[in-house]
Amino acid sequence: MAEIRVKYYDGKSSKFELAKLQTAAQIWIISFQDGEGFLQQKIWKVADINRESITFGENLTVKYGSFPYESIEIDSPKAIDYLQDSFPQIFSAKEISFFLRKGWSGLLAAIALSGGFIFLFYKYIIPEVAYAFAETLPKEYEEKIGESLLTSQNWLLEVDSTKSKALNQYAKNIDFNSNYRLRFYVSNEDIVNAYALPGGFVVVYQGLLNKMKTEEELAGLLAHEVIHINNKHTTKSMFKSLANYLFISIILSDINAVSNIIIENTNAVSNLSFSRSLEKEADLDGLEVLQRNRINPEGMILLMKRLKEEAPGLPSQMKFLSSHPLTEERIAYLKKEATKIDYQKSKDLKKEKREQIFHFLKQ
Amino acid sequence: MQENYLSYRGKGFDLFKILIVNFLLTVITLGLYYPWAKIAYLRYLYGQTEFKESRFQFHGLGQEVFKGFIIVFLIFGGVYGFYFWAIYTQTIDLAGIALLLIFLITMFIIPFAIHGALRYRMSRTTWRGIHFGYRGDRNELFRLYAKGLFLSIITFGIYGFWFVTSIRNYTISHIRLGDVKFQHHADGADFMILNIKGYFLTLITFGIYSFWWTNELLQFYVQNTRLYKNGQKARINTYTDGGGFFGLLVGNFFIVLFTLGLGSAWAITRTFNYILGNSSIEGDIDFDNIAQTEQEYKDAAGEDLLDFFDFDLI
Repeated sequence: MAEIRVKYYDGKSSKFELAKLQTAAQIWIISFQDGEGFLQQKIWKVADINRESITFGENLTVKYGSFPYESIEIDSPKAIDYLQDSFPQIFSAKEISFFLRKGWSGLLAAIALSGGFIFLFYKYIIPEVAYAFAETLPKEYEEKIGESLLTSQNWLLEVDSTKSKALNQYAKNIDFNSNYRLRFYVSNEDIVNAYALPGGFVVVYQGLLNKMKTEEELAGLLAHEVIHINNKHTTKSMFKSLANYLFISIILSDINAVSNIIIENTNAVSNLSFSRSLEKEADLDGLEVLQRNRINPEGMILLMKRLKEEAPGLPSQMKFLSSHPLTEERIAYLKKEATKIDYQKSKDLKKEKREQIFHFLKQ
Repeated sequence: MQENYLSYRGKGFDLFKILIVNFLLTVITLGLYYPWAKIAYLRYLYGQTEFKESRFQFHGLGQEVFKGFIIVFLIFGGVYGFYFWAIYTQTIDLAGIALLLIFLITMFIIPFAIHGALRYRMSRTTWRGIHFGYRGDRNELFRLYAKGLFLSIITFGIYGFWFVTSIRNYTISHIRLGDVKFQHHADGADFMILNIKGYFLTLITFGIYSFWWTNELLQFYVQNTRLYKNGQKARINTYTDGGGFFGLLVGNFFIVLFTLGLGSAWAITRTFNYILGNSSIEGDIDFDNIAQTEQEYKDAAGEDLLDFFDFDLI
């Protein structure tokens, strides 16, 4: 058997002897010349050699027995390979070595596996879990959240109380089939927008009201926003964001800040696309609300057209970034669904009432 | 008198492999693998650090660190759970108590964590078979910490410089390598001046000075540290400078940035290379004759469970 050059430590001090190691199946023999020139031999029983895992084979320390351990240092890669092959019971390959040994293919496998796992979680498992949690949130909590969000913006909002009352009157003429106590607000600001807060709060800006030409558009808008509330979209969105962030924090506990920032931005992008599917749901379910109330479904389509005029929208190359499915798309699928509806103006009994209020709101 | 340099033999690519595998396993186990990942990382770093042609060794085991990890998790999970339960049942008083508990525990767990982490790390580190050790007393450290914290609060943070220095002085001065004793005697006032100067100069130079400030901090720590063994002495020198840190840190920044984080392993390797490669121990201590003095570190007893805290895990 081969003779391996090692440094031997007796465990009592940092003094070492330059020694030779010879190995046999059951024992290792370490020989060196001591200070007085006499040959010393240490016999190590293989059974009592401490188990080691070798990661990169260029330097190895092997310990023997119990505290304070005798030990030998080996720095020849060839010798280390030899020992590893000859004594697998001592030098086990641990899980990390499995990948490291395979070189590039192991690495790529590791990267692919992690990527796949993360992707799976992100796209399927997390949203499901987050939605489930969102569903369990009691109505009262959602109301509290919506209320506090609303009051925190109150001073900014410039709520017009007369018009808000009118809007609520308008809404009374539509059956939204909602479990929530719906409360509508009009803000004086010349912004072309509207939004829904958890728990039943809807805010519509005067700018958007001014843009509308027919009252069905307003009906369509309210239907869309109420669907967001009924289907707990905002709440679900919030939970999903939270869950994503938690997931990332857990798995990235050891990675540096730059990766973190990048992943967070990726999170933001995927949040946008999530909203797009929710917006589509709000569009289509909203259409159903109109249909149920026998209101002209054209309303939603016209609403989209007004929005399109206002903001020409992103060119299709940038589609990935926008939060609302591009208005063209929305108009397309709304038109498709609307053709299935048999609208008859005469069956819309509340139309006159709504029209009156609509005109008041537009002033 | 001798001067012996430290060196770092690690390679960026090898570290990268370790980090990737760590990442994979941590992701798959939803974070539970973290203790083992940390250990694998430390084993590599220590194992690639060399002094007088012998490498350091880290013998920590994932299982040991995991215990502490679980305990921390349970403690915090328990208190936070209590807090959320109080909110859910709308008992505001209990929620207030829970918050206070969270605050107190976070504040006061720190000295225990420091003690535990040091004791664990040092006991699991060897050089030429000689174990490092930490001989500090947990209660003493806690008292030092509580006093320092209190004084820092009532002085609106000013005492903080002395506080932090006192902790460092205490902990480092209780570190051993066999019969070599470490000592650290820094002055809080010097520390304060260094930092105030560093801060203002950094502001004025739009951040450029920060690299020199970093070097000054390193020099401060190193120059106040001494090693003693049976009447022999040694000191630590680091031949780094502000310019070197500039190159190191800016380079690292771009490496990590342009590789979207994948280059971290190379950044870490550069850092260790730079700092360790420029560090030396100078003095008349005979490192070829250090005696083994530390006890075997047994982990059975209940109260030692706290000693498995690794502060970085928190």
